[in-house]
Amino acid sequence: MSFDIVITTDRTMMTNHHGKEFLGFIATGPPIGMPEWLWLYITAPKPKVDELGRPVEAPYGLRKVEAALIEAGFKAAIIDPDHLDKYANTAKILMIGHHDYFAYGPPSSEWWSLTGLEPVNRRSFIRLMNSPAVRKMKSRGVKVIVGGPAAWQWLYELELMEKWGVDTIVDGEGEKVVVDLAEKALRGEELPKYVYVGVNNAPSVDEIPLIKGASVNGLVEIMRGCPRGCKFCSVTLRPLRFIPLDKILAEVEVNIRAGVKGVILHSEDVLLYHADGVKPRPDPVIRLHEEVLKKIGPKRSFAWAHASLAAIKYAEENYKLISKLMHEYVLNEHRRLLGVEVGIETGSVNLARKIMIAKSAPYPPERWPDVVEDAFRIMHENMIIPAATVILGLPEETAEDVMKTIELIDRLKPYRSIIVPMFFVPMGALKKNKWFLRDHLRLEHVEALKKMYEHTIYWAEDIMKIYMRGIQYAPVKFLLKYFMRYVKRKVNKYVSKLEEIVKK
Amino acid sequence: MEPTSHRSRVYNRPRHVVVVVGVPDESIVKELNTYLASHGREGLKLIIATREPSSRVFEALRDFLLSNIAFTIEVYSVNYEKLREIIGGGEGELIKIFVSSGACGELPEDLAAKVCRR
Repeated sequence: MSFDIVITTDRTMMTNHHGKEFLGFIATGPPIGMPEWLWLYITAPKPKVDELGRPVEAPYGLRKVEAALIEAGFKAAIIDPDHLDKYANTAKILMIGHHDYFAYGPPSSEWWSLTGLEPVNRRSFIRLMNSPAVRKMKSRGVKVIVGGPAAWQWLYELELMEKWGVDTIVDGEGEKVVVDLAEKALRGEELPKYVYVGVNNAPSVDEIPLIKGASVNGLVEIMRGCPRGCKFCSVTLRPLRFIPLDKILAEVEVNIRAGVKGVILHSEDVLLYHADGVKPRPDPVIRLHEEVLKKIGPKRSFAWAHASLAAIKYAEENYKLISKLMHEYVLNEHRRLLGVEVGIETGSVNLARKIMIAKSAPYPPERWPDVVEDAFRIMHENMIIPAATVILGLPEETAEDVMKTIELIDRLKPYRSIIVPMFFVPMGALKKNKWFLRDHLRLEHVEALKKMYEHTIYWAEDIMKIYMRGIQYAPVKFLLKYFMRYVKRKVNKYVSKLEEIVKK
Repeated sequence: MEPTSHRSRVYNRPRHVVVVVGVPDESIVKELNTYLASHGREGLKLIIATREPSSRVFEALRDFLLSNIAFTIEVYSVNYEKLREIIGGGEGELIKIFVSSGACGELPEDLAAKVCRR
């Protein structure tokens, strides 16, 4: 069997991260203290594939592109990067997607800047593009179309774009445009070098196709877009759409049938599913959880991709919604926690007012630090473990703003969580600003980095015990513990070095 | 049987066409912003006719492209033969031809006559 359109990505994306989504973030760093192959084993083990090289689980974005193409009548499939050679002589179009092609996104760019070492995701992607299979396809005249959330990064790697013969960059929601591009390519028509998919081409809820194969760790989209309008974020630029429950359940079913062991509800803010603006409404959120959890049964894992701290506080304080969801639906002897990514971004009210005025809504930005702490307390009490982000180097940030962030991190010490620093990357409405890099660090930034590191190390072992239960995780746990010990040994020396650099 | 969702997904190709001859310079990029603001709602097809490598073209267009967060834009890089076809018609609604400084000298005579003396 052959496919006209082969869809793929590199190993750091084409993996299920041992069924633990958080482990995927390890690919954003350079391999420190161990060889790269071991680093890749921790973060990106090879997935199961069928005899055609199609992975059982594949990134959700690629699944949407695959579904749109199949429904339009094309012979298209997602192929694991190790199996591209099977199609090197037959494919007509190669489509590639990625979250962070060149490690310019957060947090890759930060680890790169801090250590001076190239992150694993970038190395892995470059390996893919230089692989014999991709080179062979290109030499045959296969059209190469790249897209996904990191499409913008190609505009900073124009020489590689030429060297690798990339025909088209697609930036934005791809479901409609990929069909048009595939038709053009197969008819031998000229392709655009670049497409930005504007609001007039964003698919409606009805036009978003259902995935045909399983997604990584059972990720299923429940909403697209976000109403909060934070200036540093690109998702907020998209129109807000709620995916109907029957479509969500149909995709959960696709994953269950493929043998995936869990579900991740994907949204920028899960609690805003069918919300009243930024105020969560309990009924649709409860119904969503009730139906999804009934479908997956008691043993499969369950997580949220993202939630906002303001929505967590509002939902609990007004409706006891968090404790209800967790204790009546989510938690049981098999599911002892719920993981989620949340954004703190800053502890400064002044900065919050400037760059994310609605992030605290329905509470005023003046209450942002309290909103953060209250939400952390609520999550701690209900076994929700957040991986929180803090952005350093936001435009207009002052030393005082960073000090406020440090104060807030201190207040969060009692709450089980991971706090990850991110250097500002120009995205969203702040696209035209400059990257924040190591050379821009001030002493207070170093102090903030240290605080976040101490917080995360303080909670890491406790979280690992709950997060990775079972003998199958023993090797990964062993390596992670080794890595943490290595970091503990090195970090003080490194912080002193950073302080010296900053003082100069 | 796999679940099937809605099948008709029609991509709205950009309606308006702007041609740039040569690598866009600063003043052209500034003008492009104006055209995008006034015509972007229905999409903008930007056709760049040059012998320069596309990396030079995109370097010149990078800020313009990155600052767009709303409108559909397609960018094509074409040779002079294709440019002849485009000027001859059949490429959507051609609303403007820009010629970057120095580009006229590199054009074949017939094309120069059409685009440089407008």
